[in-house]
Amino acid sequence: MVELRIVFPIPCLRALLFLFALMFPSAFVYFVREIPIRRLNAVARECLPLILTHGVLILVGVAGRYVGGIRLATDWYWVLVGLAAGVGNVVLEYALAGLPQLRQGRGWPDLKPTSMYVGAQLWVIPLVATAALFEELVHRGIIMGGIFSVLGMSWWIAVPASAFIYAINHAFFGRTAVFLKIASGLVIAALFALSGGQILVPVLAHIAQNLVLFFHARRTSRPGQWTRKG
Amino acid sequence: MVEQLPLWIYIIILAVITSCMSPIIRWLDSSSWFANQVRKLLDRSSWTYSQLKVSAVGIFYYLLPLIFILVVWALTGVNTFAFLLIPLHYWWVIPLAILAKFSLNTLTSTVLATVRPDIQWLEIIGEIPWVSRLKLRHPSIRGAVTPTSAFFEEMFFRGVVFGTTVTLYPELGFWVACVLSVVLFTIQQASFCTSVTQAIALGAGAFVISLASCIAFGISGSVLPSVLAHQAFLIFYTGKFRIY
Repeated sequence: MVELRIVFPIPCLRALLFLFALMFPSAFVYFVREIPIRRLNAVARECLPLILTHGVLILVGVAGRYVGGIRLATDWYWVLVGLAAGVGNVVLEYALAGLPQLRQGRGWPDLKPTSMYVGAQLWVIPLVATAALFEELVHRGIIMGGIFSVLGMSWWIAVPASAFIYAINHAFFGRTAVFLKIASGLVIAALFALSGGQILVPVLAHIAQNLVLFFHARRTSRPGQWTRKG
Repeated sequence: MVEQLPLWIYIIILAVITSCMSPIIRWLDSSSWFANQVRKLLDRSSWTYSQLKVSAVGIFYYLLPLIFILVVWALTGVNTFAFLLIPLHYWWVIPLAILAKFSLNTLTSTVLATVRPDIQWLEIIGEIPWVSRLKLRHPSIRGAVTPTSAFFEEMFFRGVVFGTTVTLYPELGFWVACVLSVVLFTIQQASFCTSVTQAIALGAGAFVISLASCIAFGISGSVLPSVLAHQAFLIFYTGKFRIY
């Protein structure tokens, strides 16, 4: 009999397949948008597919040993830095989005509420937070951790690569969002690298950023603007 | 065990078998001899003539890779079915392969729709002969036929063209065998189409599917992740959502 064990010890193969799987999870957001499920609001439509796909990717990442160099213990001042970076990212994205209008001499644009969150109820906050947590675990924990410790590359490669992949994954928000997310992804990835792999820092920053947008949309939109169908 | 063939002859044999699949199926479809054989079965069956004929042709599509796998097993001692075993600690390649195929296919279809928005790509795929025939059948038949064909396609194009080839010729390396498998599978899928647009639409999907399959094979050393991912992919597109 011929021996049948052909496993190729090429580390980039694992990275490549993971990258393929990650390349377009917004596809699942598109699919779920098409499925006619009643009583599922806009936030759940965006967040549930993200949680599902990123949850699978986290399981795969842990089982396939993509993860490395993550610290759960966090210094207290990095918690504050993370929260501040979340608020700062909102300002950064607003400033970048407003730049074209400012250059035309029409002043800063109005801060529009995020359409997804308009009229959303408070019970979707756990969904939003979980989606943010899972996204950070994948993009910072697995991708950056993998590039650091599994592929053995430096943070000069890990930070822009992670920010770029993170931005591509927000394609379902539109083309502009991709450019904005490169900026905020760079900030979060740089904080993760500077803090020495404390995973709580990017997680807190992402949750803070989403919740600021969430409460801003709730404050500025009329109550009862979004109602359930049927 | 026979003496090992030179590599170029082996590759030519693979290419000839791949390119024979579509002509053989077409010949069966149009030959009066095969039609007569099918008519003989009509009395014993509750199916109509066209249903019976399509099913019989489909069985031949499964038989070709099966015969080749058995011939290779007899001549060289390499059992391609052994590639179905997967070490338990590689279970995570299965969901990863499924996600990768869905992602890559969505990416290519988005690129096609962006480059040529004037072409109705879904309708073009629906006009491919085997797809248009499959559309007419009951969902249970669709649900049985597509996973089976996925199994045999993966067993041939990943099991034989990739796995067995690399086992017999280890000097090939991963990437050459990967390119061989991807190219042959894309050509085979395109050869079942009747126009260039159909070939592009189906070939793009076949290209990314075989690429992800080969990489999953290279990681786990098993054809099972590719088979399951291909089946999940086909069930999704031909079953519930009726996109094809």
